[in-house]
Amino acid sequence: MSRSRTLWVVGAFLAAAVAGVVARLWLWPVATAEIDVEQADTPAAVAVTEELVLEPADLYFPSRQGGLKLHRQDLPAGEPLQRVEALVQALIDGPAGVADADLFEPLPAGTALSSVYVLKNGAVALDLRSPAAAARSSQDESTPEGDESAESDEVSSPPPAGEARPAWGSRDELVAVYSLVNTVTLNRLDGIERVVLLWDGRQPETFAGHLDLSRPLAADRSWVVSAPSP
Amino acid sequence: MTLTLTVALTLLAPSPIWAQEPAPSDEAEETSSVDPAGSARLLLDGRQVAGVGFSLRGDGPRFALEPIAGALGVELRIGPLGDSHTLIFEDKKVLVGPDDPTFVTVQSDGADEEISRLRLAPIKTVRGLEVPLEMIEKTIGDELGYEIEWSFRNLELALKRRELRSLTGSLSLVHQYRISVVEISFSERPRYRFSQEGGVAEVRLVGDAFSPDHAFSRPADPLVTDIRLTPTKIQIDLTEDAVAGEPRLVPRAGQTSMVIEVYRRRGGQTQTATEDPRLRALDSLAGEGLRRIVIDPGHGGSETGAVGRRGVESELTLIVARLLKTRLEQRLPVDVRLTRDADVDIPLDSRVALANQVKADLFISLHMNSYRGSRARGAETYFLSRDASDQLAAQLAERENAAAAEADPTQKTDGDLGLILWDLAQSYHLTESQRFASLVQEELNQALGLRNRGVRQAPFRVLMGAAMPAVLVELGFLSNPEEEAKLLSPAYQAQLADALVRAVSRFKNQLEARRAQPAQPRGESRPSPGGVP
Repeated sequence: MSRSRTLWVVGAFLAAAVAGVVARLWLWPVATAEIDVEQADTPAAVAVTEELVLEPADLYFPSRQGGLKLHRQDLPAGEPLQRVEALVQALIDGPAGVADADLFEPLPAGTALSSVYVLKNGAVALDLRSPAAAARSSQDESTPEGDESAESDEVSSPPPAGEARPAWGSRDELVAVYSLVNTVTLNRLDGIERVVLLWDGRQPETFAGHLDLSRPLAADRSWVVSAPSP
Repeated sequence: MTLTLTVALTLLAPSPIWAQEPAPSDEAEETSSVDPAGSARLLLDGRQVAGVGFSLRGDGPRFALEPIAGALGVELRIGPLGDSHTLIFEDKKVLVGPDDPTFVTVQSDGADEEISRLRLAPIKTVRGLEVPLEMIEKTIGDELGYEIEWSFRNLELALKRRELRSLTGSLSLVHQYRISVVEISFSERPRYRFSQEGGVAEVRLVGDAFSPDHAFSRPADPLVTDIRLTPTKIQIDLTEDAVAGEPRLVPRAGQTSMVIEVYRRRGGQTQTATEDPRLRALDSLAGEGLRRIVIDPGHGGSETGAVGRRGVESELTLIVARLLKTRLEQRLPVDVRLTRDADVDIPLDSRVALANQVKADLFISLHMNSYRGSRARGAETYFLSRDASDQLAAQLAERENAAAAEADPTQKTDGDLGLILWDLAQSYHLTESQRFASLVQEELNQALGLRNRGVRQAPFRVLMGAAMPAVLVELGFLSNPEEEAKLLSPAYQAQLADALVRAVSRFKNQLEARRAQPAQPRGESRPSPGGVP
């Protein structure tokens, strides 16, 4: 007797829980449908949809095998310059979420893309911000307004020359630089054939003491190894 | 409903990765009606010379431009509407106007125009155009070497001559392919004016004084007869037919190098084809065999290069370079020089310049490699990529043409001849570089049982402009612990040096064997410029 009563109580609880879940599932699609209808009628919503158009891009990531490996990824479509920014940002963000553990990011962690300029003769300049400068600038942003902390002097003083230059051999340098150069120039972007690299707004002689960066660099496919990763 | 939509759109709104964060505006306009203004004393080196109108707004003080320019003897031209103001300096003009937080600097020759941003915009008042302190500092202050101090308490704007900043550095002169290059390396970016008159090119420092680290001994040069130094002036005496280009500032390893190129003027003492040193250089290619070798231990000083667990690239390259020099000189009749024989910073361009200066027949740059991604191992030998060589040639031709046109616009330039000759010489050097690189790689692989990474090409800075076969050898990976241990062992270092000695020896024999073969008639294949018989 007492056993059947217990069963009944448990059954009642289960029924209530199931009813709750069903009610939520039933209500959810209705709300979504309403939003969809509204979106279709709103010009702003149409614009949003247009900007989200993605196009496949060829990213040349450094591979553990020693060269560059082609990885295809969808990136937002746009004008050539916006595409360049998206491509470089994707390289900086690194191959996160990519199943291929063979790939890694070309630049030292904390490097950021400040801006992209068009130069004459089919060259674009990528202005990269060193991890040290990026750290200073984020410190700057996070300093509360009106807070004249002791850091303010440090923020305004220019970085010492040669700071944050990676202690790299030529292989590290070649793979890092051609990861950027090949990615930017081998994506069939109209009129973009060469790349100039700037480091904290200045054109360095080299990045790590080997590769000449004083002239615009063209793609070098000899650094690309094996088949594209999935 | 509307609320749901807003939330949904917020969630859907794209955040493009190129979107730039707007700079936080810390210049919020103060709407307070208090706008103090008046007249302050203008002091020049502590002495009152005039009064200067100023106004204070919430966002900072501004000062009348006219009395300040007048006190320092800077010409100020004001446009017919009283808006545009132009400061006239010796070699540039600065344009500024009201309500626009920028000023424009135009070089006198009109070649260069630079827009500078200001935190505050100048304003037009009854006292004339009033500009922020920042603008006065960046124009009049920097041009004439004055510090500017504003004291609100004393109502004084003081202009004080800056103390001379003392710069150290070094001076070099190298002649190569008909161009002499004067390079002055400064410890800090110099402020200077450049002028050229009566066969003298002069760099006059403004607010700076220069003293070289060591005495400069001037090599004999076909275009530069003397270089005279005083603390504030560097005077380059040119031969009658020479002309200097505008100085270029190039940042180099914590220093700033000023590079001045000196060319032969067209129309002066015109060269005939046979006098052209480049033609003589072509004649002598491969004609001399291999007598002098420059070895470049990669990196040095603050530039450590690759760093392993224990090994540092700049230290190891110097060890192997010294070994290689000793063994080469013991076994072959050659003269070997090192670009550095201590742990010091040497700019990349100076390394190859040394090889050119001593007329080396071979240049070998030694390096240790690293790779973050794997346990890569083995040696690699590089020579300059064709693309880099072509770009260098085009750049040289462009500069020569520009210099020639400047010297005598009516004369047709022979830049094409220069390009052809440079190209011929570079093609020759590239072919020889490739041959030597293959020999180096063969010997290293054979001696050490290394994995063959082969011979590669890359636009390495240290190989650019070499007037001889030049290679860069990566001896092994410091990022690979096993290979690093080997690279640190004296026995392995000796093996590496011996392999390189064998490669040099084979290359020397090949060169001399080719020289012994009957040469093709040179005179017929030599390109001749139009009009020169």
